[in-house]
Amino acid sequence: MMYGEQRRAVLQLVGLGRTFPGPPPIEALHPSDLTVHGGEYLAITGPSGSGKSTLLHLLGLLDRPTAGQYLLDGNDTAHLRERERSSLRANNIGFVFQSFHLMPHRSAAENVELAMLYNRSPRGSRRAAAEDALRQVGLAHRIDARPNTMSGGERQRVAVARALVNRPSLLLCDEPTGNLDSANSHSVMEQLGKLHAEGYTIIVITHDPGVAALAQRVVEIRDGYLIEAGALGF
Amino acid sequence: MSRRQSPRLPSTRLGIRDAFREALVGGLQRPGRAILTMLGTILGVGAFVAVLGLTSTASGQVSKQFTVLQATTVSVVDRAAADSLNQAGSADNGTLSRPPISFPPDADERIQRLNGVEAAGVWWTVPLGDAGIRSSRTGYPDGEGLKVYAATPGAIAAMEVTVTAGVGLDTFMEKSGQRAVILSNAAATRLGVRNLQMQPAVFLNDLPYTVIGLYSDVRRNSEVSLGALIPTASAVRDFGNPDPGQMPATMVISTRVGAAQLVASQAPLALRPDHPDTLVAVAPPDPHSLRDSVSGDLTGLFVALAAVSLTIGAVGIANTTLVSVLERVGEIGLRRSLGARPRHIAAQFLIESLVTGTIGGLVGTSLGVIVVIAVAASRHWTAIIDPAITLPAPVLGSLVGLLAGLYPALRAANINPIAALRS
Repeated sequence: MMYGEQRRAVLQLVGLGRTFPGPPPIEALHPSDLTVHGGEYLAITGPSGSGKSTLLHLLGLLDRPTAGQYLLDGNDTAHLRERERSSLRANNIGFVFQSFHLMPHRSAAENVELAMLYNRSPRGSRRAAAEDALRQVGLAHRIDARPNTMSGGERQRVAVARALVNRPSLLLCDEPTGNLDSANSHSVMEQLGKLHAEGYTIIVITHDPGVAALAQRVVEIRDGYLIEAGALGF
Repeated sequence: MSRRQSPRLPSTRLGIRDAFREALVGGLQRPGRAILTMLGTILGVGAFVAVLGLTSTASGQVSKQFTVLQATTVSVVDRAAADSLNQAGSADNGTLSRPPISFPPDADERIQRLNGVEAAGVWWTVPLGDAGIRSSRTGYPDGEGLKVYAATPGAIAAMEVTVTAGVGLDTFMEKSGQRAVILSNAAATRLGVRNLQMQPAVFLNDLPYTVIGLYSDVRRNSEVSLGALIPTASAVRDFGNPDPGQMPATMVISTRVGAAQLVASQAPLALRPDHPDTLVAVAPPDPHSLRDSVSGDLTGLFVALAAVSLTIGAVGIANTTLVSVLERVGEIGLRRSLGARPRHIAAQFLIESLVTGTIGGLVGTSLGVIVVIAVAASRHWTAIIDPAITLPAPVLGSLVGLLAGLYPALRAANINPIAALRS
């Protein structure tokens, strides 16, 4: 995912669609095409009910499409078995959720370590990797802190550290500032900006135009249709 | 469309150590609840161990007492007399028509010669008339209901009668047919006999008998402990042969431990070599089968109770684990997003309930053993703790935990990650 690989397509949607059977059947995502290259910082924006969540779940391999192809790092995910999709989730995708999803009884480092529980990371190296990731998001001093002693911005940065600790090819952020005040939102978005500068491929799904404006490229989703809003000099 | 093989994608896995660590951390997030959840298993397994331990301890104790008294007691009944009663078809044929005693006059000595006999003698209920026993010939019938027994010195020794005042009935009185009586404390109180110095007399069918002694405890044939005893020779002379309708002449034999069965088989022949069939020897029940039946009955009942407690424990664990699953839906969604497969989620919750059950089983076993030891110590019993029950008992807790965790674990594994992440 580093600079040298930036032109490689990390993610490719070819006619990807999702219809919920109903009744009545609902075409939440009309067949769409999208290509995201390594190192890109993409915002997917749209009002609520537009199909953002459906797209997020498809991109995060939490749901299966009813039409088209989704290639992640060259793997045609639609035809993978569940164990292979789990493997991709564990190694190739880092999730950042609106509600952080941190374990309240565990320290920041332990929360980050959780991301290495299922992907065969050697037990002995997890702690060091978690501390590195926390340092990377500017939380070197909060390694042993519990989430309930942290500000919202710090919590979300712990979640970002957890998402990037496995060095995934895609950071998938779902409304990362949705639960934050403006100061904390700013710190988190700044963090994402830094990671983009370091070469991470980032997709932010948001309904907030301010957050979307920070991305390099914006794709709009409206009534289940994906519309390229404009490339900003990529 | 064919599946595209992806050999580059290694399956996610959850190591055993990681799984146990996650389960422990998850289970201990709410220590109070974890302890309450364990309580059912603790009580169930504890009850199981305590009940089985106490049953074997108590039945060991019970059998000890049975063996001392029952296992060393043989009685020989005069069957000929009883048969003649049945043929006559009436309980009272008058003094003269009562059947003779089948025991020979030297019955006590004959039996004493058998190996294993400690003491033996003949006794029966004296068939008194309406006058019964009373303290004065003309006064109020203060002895009404009191029974008078005729007994040889051998019988009195075999019954283990404890004389508390005066003297007992000895061979001289028996041979010479003295009108002497010894009273139980209960009878003495009823008849107003307090002081033996004055040589008080009581009246049996208006015949005066001198009270020469008092007795209290009677270990064998405890009914005697509420009556009075007179020599058999006096009884036959003054009141005739025993009335089989009340009680035929019977011999009580006190044997050494383990000799009862043998003595019982030999007694009729030793007493009446000419007509051994006129006497019937009754041996005590085999102590082993007695103990087994006692402990068997009790154990069955209490194990059923322990099983009920365990079932309640299992329902408790199942319920709490299910609540925990529902509370931690968000965590389940997160774990799925981090690469956990449904089986990893199921394993985590299953191990959590397994650990809960196992800890409950260990604590319950310890408590059960403590209860058995404490009860045994307070009663001065020997605690009997069977390793065959105590050692596998914690496994019972594990089993309960595992079974109780199955349904919640399957529920957790089947939770849709999308819905879970929304929660």
